[in-house]
Amino acid sequence: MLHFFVRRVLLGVLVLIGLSVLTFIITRVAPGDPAALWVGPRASVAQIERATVTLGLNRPLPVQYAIYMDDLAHGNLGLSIETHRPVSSEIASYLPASLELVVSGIVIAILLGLPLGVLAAMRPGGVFDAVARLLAVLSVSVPTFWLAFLLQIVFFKDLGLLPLAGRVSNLVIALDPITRITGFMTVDSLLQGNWVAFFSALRHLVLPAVTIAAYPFGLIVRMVRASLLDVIALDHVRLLRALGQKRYTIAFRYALKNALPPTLTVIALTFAYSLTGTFLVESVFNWPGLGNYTAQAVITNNYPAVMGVTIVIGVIYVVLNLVVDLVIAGIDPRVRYV
Amino acid sequence: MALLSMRGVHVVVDTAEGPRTLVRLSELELAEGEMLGLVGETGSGKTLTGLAVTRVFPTPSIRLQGGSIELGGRDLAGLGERELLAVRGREVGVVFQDPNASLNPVFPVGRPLMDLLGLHRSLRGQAAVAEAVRLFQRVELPDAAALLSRYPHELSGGQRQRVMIAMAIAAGPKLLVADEPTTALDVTVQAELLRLLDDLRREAGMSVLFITHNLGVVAHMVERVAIMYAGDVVETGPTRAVLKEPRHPYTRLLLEAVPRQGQGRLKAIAGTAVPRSEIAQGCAFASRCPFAQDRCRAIEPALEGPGVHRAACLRQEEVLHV
Amino acid sequence: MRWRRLAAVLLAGAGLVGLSACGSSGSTGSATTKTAVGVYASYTQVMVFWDPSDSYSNEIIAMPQMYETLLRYDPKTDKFLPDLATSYSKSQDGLTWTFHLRHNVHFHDGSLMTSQNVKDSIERTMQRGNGAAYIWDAVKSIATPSKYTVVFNLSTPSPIDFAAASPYAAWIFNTAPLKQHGQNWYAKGHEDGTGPYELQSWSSGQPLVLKAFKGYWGGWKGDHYTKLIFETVGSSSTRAQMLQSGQLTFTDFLPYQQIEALKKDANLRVTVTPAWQNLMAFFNTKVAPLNNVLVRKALSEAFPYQEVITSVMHGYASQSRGPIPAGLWGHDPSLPQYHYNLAGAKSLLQQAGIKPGSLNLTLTYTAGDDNESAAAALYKASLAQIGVNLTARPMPWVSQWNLAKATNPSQRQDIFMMYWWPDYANPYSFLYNLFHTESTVNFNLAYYYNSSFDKLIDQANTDSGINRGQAVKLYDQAQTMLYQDAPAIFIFDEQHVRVIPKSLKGYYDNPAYTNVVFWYDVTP
Ligand SMILES: Nc1ncnc2c1ncn2[C@@H]1O[C@H](COP(=O)(O)OP(=O)(O)OP(=O)(O)O)[C@@H](O)[C@H]1O
Ligand code: SF4
Ligand SMILES: [Mg+2]
Repeated sequence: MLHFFVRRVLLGVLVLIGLSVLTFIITRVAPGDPAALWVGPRASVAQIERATVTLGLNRPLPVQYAIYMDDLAHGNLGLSIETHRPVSSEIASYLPASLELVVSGIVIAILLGLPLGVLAAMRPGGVFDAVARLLAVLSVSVPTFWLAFLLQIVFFKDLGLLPLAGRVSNLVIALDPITRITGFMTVDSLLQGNWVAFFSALRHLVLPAVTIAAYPFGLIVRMVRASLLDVIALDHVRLLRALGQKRYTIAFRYALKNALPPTLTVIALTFAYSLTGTFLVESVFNWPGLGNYTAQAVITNNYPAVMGVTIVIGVIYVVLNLVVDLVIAGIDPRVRYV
Repeated sequence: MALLSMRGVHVVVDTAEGPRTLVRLSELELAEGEMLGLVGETGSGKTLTGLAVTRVFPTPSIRLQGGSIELGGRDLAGLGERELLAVRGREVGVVFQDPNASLNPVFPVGRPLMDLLGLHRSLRGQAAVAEAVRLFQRVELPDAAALLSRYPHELSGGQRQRVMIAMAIAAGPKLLVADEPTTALDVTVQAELLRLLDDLRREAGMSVLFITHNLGVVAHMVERVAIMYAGDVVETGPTRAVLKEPRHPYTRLLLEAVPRQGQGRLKAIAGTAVPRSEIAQGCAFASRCPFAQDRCRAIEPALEGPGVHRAACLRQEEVLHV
Repeated sequence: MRWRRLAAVLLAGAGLVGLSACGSSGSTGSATTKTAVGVYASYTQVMVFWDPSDSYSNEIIAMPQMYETLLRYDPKTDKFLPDLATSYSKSQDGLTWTFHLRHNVHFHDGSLMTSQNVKDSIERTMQRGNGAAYIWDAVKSIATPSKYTVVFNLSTPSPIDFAAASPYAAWIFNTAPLKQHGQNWYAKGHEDGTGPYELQSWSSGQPLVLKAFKGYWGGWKGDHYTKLIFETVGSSSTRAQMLQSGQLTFTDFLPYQQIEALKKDANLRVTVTPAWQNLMAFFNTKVAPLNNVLVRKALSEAFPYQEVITSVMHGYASQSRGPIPAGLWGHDPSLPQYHYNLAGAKSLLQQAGIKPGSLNLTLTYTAGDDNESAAAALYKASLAQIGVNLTARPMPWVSQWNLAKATNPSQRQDIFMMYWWPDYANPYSFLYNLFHTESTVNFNLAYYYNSSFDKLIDQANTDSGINRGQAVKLYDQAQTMLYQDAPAIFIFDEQHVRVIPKSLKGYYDNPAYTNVVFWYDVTP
């Protein structure tokens, strides 16, 4: 088990080192003069020259690389070309919003997708199966922005049930502000016993989270259904059936655990993907998350920000995979010896 | 009095071209406390016959088309899925062929057993653990208490088979369907398991449908055998009689093919087994039978004979006296 | 406790709704007890730069709430209003400017604002040299003869009152916290100004929340917004919906289509003001045949001015008269300008010896700007009718600019399209940056080098600090010179169209402070 863990960690570190080298090369090779971007569109030649020195762009490339790696090792992702603030602190400010959104989305997807996938697999060709397959196809293929607009029209415009956009109402921001602890507004407001803010944050979270949930939901339904169908045909499942065990017990308590590893891998993948892929959702719902930040960074050629996001997503991806590997090892004792 | 009585049991598989017959059983009976050996080549339909009792088939495309399966006077074939639930495990226990695939690799072996005890006997917590330990001890598993929390891959094949037997008898069924429980194991283990099954049968007055393709194994332990070919019983009777004086050419060939020391799989019999579905009329064995005559291909022989030893062969008297 | 907060929320909610729906603020009793929340949704990031010395971006909408300048400029009356300075005077030669400061003004940390703070602020801004710091280039030294008197000594005459009223590089702030926390303290997201609102909360990506500064010198009598929220709402349709549902008090930008739709809303009203921003297209006067003034005149006459204004700008623009935009002093509507005249253009090309079909030109514009793109397309279609082939190339700004600065003039674009706007209320910004001789190419992208033009505008700038009337005359002459030499097409002067709740009282769209709402001055 320890051996297994150490190997996975080393592999992750290797992936991250590769990623950091790649990001360095891309920053230096990419077109556009970072110094010119740094000083803005109205800068004088002298200002650009000064920026070149400030940013260390006049030094030899190997020296720049050494500085870059040293900074990275200290968690320093450089300065944003747009705002001149540390990219790390900006990401720290934007990331929790995305995490809150994506985590809620994935949780919704799991809570709905997992049981539906199981029910579908229990009676292939049955009603649940038909519904599940239809929903899975719809939720995977429906364009995100379309779904987002649809939800807004129905729940904001027509029914007036849920807010249009934002993370929390402006009144809460002005009068019942949430002190930042975790950066998850729902969690922070709860921790402070600030109910007004909590319900506002929760109401704001629903529509974007449901939008985010659509794609992973479809994937999860299909993954669970497919892997469960494989598992259900196995002898050990049939044996339990032949010995009178109840269908639901077999499906949810036994077979699901066998079907979980491939599903978990998919969930981990969608999670990392969703973190940057949330741009459309974040933009429609005006959610100040990493997707918005990245889009803005790309538009403004803000290389340090783009690369910072890349590294952070890389770390999240590696950590997530490690966690999934560990969970799978926890589920399946045979893996631990691999 | 017969505990189990199967008549006209018809198992089909749904295919694109319509249902295809896999098993068409004329009759099979099992007395209370009796161990019956169901013997036949691979593909002859032994497993499906055994599974027909609980109606848990390998795939949803296989189903029971017709016939009656009377267990203790009640026809299981007429029961719905919900009523069958009460039969499975409680009245009929099942042991599968492959001990490697029949235990869930991601659960400790005690877990499904204890869940079954909770389900069938309402035993939970400490009571379930105690009973599980007792059952493990009963199937002669060493260090039973510790074994409960072990994973299948930590057990030997024989131990896994014993775990399965413990699960099958957990609810005290009247009938145990043991589908080649020994095939995957080596000889000494096979013998031990057979003895264990025989002990359990005697102790609990349980009937055992013992499925095997090894006549040698059957010879010592089983009072009565039924020989299957192409989805039907072709000969049945007391083990001694069937082995000594086979009335069906197929049984004869089987006996000639029995490996030395009753070990290993059957030697090949000339020709290949013909699927039941391809037999339009006449005797199913005709294409491979050295005794076959024209009338064999026209008339389907019924299971008949003097007394309890019966065979489905038009020329059984000749076969007997060759 | 809980209930009191809830009540406050409900009260403010009622206030907000009243703001957009009822059309009457309905405030009664003591206004100071009432919470009124102003919400400003910007299409882009609000706080780009926090340091008041460096500020040169969209934070212009928030800085005037937290900080103040010595003066404020009112283009309508062409007058300076007192802000931190209550009065000022200049010497005859325009080299010495004396400002008398308001007494008893406090920074948000409670310390008193004195002449030393003014000197420290401006000197730090000049020394950092970021953003618009150049507006103080004429300043030789700053003296503080008394606690409330500041004297600027200039090296050349310059209208320093305009600099003192600039929304960039002219904020007066407290330098004391920098000594304690380091020069980066402001940049990290702090403020210490004298403005009516102080920082409540902010972090990257989160809204900027400001609250009334109790110690503000103007006091809080009467109706005022007491809380301000500046948030970024990228989607214009979301901003429009928020405006209609009363969740917004102000937004800086809406596409024309949205504006047409919102016009119908009874709770909203539309204001249109000249913006000090114009669109121009610069000819590469260093290469043939654009070095021929006849060709440039022809190309100026081939531009479909009115069509662009109506179909691209939906009428929210006026045709330019030279580079100084409408609304800014120095603009003269009587100046000559080219008009759409394809026949004239054709004959001018003929005179220049250009055969139809022989002229191929490349125009660059900034990628992502829909108005530039549409204008370029219309120009292309028009040119095609007189046998000139135009290739319009969208480019990211930095690439577009770098191409314009290529060492070999023939490698550069033929026509460079861009907007210009002044950093502060001074026509010199347009004429100097865009047409004054440069030793290395910066913003003179017509590469127009004319020493008599240079002399005219330099003199005008000097005079503007002493004799405004004389300066305007010189600028007129300079602009007429540009008309004759035709180094650029002066396309249109933009207008700001605002859709605001009818209940927002006292709003004045001041083009000297683009997109700024002076929240203290408006009432809910
Ligand atoms: N899922 C299935 N689909 C189609 N045909 C099947 C399926 N399972 C079994 N059969 C067929 O049914 C017949 C009987 O199969 P069964 O498993 O009962 O044989 P068996 O006697 O148990 O053989 P073995 O000794 O190999 O276990 C065989 O011809 C087999 O090919
Ligand atoms: S009936 Fe005929 S074919 Fe069939 S087994 Fe007997 S002899 Fe052979
Ligand atoms: Mg079998």
